[in-house]
Amino acid sequence: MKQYPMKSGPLVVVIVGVLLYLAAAKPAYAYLDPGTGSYVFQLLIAGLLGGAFFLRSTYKTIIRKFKKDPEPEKNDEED
Amino acid sequence: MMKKTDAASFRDPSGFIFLQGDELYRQINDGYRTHYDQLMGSGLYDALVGKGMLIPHREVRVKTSTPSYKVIRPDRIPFISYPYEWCFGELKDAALLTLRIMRTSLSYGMVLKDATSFNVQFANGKPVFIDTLSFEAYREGHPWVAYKQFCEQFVSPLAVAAYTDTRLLKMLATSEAAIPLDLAATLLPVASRFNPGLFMHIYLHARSQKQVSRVTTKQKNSRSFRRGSLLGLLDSLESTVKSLRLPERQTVWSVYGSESGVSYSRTGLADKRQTVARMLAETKSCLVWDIGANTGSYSRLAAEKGMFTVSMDSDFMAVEENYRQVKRDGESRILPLLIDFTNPTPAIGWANAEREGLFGRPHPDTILALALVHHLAIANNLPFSLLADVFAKLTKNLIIEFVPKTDKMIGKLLEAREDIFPWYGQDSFEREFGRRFTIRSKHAVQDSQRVLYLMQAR
Repeated sequence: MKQYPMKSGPLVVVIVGVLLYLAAAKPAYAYLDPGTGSYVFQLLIAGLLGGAFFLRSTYKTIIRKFKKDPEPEKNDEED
Repeated sequence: MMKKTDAASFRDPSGFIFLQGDELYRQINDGYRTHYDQLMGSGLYDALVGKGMLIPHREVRVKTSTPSYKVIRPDRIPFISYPYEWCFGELKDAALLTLRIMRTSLSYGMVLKDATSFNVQFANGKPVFIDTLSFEAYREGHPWVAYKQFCEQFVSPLAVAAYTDTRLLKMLATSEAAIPLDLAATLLPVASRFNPGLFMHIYLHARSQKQVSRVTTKQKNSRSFRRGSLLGLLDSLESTVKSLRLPERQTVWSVYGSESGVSYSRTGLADKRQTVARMLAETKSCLVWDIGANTGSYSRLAAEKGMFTVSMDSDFMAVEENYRQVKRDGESRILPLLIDFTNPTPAIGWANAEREGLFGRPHPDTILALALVHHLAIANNLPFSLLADVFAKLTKNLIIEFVPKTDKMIGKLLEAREDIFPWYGQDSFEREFGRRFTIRSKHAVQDSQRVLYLMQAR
């Protein structure tokens, strides 16, 4: 069985401590009630929305490839 | 110095707005630390502020009465207005801004944790997002927590205005800027169901509320709402909002504005404009309220002189046209608002103090009351003394136009009713207003019997 050197002990503590800090300081603080129905509704339509988005971005990519002079990007914020 | 927490800033544990003397600050609490740091460090803040989408701020050292992470001082909005005072176009642009911000935030790993229309204000003729603490780290797999709020505060009102009646926008004043989904579904005509976006985000969404569902822990952790779905949701909401348009029809007032030949000859109109411009210059104002502004042609005289002008009218098409022109011209000093001065916006919300009424907001240096007094006095049965009282309480300078009974417009107003206004005349006008104001100058408009006055409150 491999022996782990004792020197890595403090490093592990530091890493775990940092992770715990990050986890602790990152609650959502979303004070808004999303509404149970709306939450589930989004899950229900997730597939439909994802599919539509995929089709739309594929379409845009194809159009871009076919244009010699690319149109100025209107939606430059798109992922 | 006295600290005063803003009356509307209590819901969000991330922080709150407070006033100290004349300055406005936002306290950021410790629990929000990582989100704020991500907003600033990821480049999202710079991206949004660079495009004029988010209100800029500075970090400051201010002592706080409760433990805090940081204090920031955001830029000030020239005049606070509320979603129920906005015309259709303004509400629509506020909605599109919110969605654009969501999309931009996502590419920096963040989302908006709320989507209330109160997060948007107007400055420089454009909507700007003011809630700096609304950003939070994006957690992959989670649906949008603010989806329902966005639908109730933006999609519902816009849909109801577009499909049912724009006047219903005014009811937002009593419902804190939201129309519940099921109410919107009831108000909307059958034809609206053929709008696929509305069908999904209003009708089906409303039906989903009725489900007595318990979100199981499994569903909460299901992570079945991938990034692609969220982007698809934003796309769908954006095209839904964009598809909503006002039914174009001319209303009484917007026609009046363009047919100014009815009340004035060309000489008379030029003379009126010149006189009003001169009187405005004499007031040396910073803030002007143009009451009954129609499409804001006289507001523009004030704006030209560097005066920020709130351009109010009760006719939604007039305000809409005013706003369209503000956008076309890139006008930064005019804020068109849908306000009926005989029934101005009340204070609403918690303790009737959360959202200020019109008269609770900064008072103007000058009020423009042009081609207005006969509507107040005759159409609304308001005696001169009451008008003078209210104007004197609100402002230092008053530029007001007296319209004599012989005027064609008054003839129209009295067509179908008894003339119960024997007191209405120039003498009593000067007498009643003279009690609260000094008349600095007066000018009879050429080719007209109307008289312009420049008055100063005593």
